[in-house]
Amino acid sequence: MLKKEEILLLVYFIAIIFFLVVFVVIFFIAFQHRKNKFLQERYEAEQRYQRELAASQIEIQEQTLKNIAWELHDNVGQLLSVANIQLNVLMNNAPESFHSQIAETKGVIQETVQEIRSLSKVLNNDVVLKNGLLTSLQVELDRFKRLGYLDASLKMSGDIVPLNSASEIIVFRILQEFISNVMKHAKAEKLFVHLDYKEKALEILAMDDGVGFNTSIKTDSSGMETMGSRAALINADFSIVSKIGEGTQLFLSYPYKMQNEQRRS
Amino acid sequence: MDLSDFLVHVFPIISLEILAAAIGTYYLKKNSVKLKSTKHLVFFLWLTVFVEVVGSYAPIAYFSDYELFSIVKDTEFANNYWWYNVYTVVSYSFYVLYFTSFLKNRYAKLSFHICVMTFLLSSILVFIFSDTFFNGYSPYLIIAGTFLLFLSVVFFYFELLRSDMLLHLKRFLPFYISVGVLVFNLCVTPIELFVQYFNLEGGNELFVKLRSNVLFYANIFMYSTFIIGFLVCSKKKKSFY
Repeated sequence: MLKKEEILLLVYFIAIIFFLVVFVVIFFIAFQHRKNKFLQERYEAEQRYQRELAASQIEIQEQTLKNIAWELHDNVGQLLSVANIQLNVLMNNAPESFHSQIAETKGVIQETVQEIRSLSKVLNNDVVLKNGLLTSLQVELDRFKRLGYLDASLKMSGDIVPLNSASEIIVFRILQEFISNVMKHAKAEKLFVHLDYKEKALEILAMDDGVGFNTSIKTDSSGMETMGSRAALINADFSIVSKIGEGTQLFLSYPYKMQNEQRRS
Repeated sequence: MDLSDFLVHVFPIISLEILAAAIGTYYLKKNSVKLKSTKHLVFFLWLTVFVEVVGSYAPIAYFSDYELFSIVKDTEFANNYWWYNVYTVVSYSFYVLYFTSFLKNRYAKLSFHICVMTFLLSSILVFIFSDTFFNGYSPYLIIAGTFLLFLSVVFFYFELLRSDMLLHLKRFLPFYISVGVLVFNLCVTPIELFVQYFNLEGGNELFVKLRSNVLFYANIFMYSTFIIGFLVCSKKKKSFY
């Protein structure tokens, strides 16, 4: 027969074991909870830092582009205008036989001025903002068409929803980057851009019929990364689909809702 | 202590066991688990249900004054110790193998496998050469089994601490299993060592009451933990194991 004290001892041991195990488990859970929180905080800080970095990079880039645009428009443009006037003077004093050549040169210079004007228009974010996304995109595509590189077309559907100005610039720069990549690498003949203003999001599809590339291979060029990080900056879904020989497609979906929240905050 | 007392203590446990096994099966089906150890676990839960149902013949016979199952009266099978002796050994071995299946270190795995083999062999020897097989639980086996189980859970926790799985602890099924099994076995072991006092002759009422209660609450704790684990892991979008 067991004595009462022995049974008490048993109870005591069982209670101790139970509470010890429970304590260890709770400690374990608390530890992992704390660790997770710490890791998450660090991750968020990193993310915040990356966002700020990207934002400041964009700011610097916009400033640089603006400066270049001003330089082109005010300085180079003016110089070319002076050259044009000089040619006019020359035309009056030169013999007849040179006239056609001088007229041709004048034409070239005028075209150059025109090109520089339109180039400076898409480089300067103030002008982009003033003209709006659609017009600026049209100007950019027309420029490439005029230069004979690409047969570019733009399609728009839905009612235009005014975007927040910073986002508009970023969307435009992403497209610009894509188009310049198409020009540089794709050897494409046709480029098609479709802006679809849906109820909740602006969906953009841009596709070319170029050589395409293997998306799984990482390249040294930072273009893809820049586009991705910019899209992340405005909370847009961004993806590039491409296969060798089948052209490249870019999808960008920019939700309006986010922009309102951003404005509020 | 009579039949109604027995039923009050045993009926909830068996229904909880059936529930745990059923929810485990549901979890397997819903998340289409491919991991073998989880499938084995659910199979083992069903096996436990079977063992408990079959094992309850002894108390039923006892409380009905051997009107039911009268064959076993005055034989060595009057107590169900033999049945639970086998089950206990299998259960210790199963849980040790279950937790070692998550270890990545090959040597640790191998040593645990060797330990389990030794444990099984020595338990057969103990059953043959000692008289505890029909009369009670061998303290050697209970202590060795519990110790082995405890070590395997400790190793499992160390593995957990080193892996990224720690980040998803709430959705990690083996963690729930480990808590339930650890609490149950550590708490029940001291009481099982005194199992020879578990009879109503000779004024052991206090101990009988204590053992019934400890077993009752330990079982409830363990199977509730299992059920919670299965439910939590099948609810979230992605669970592990």
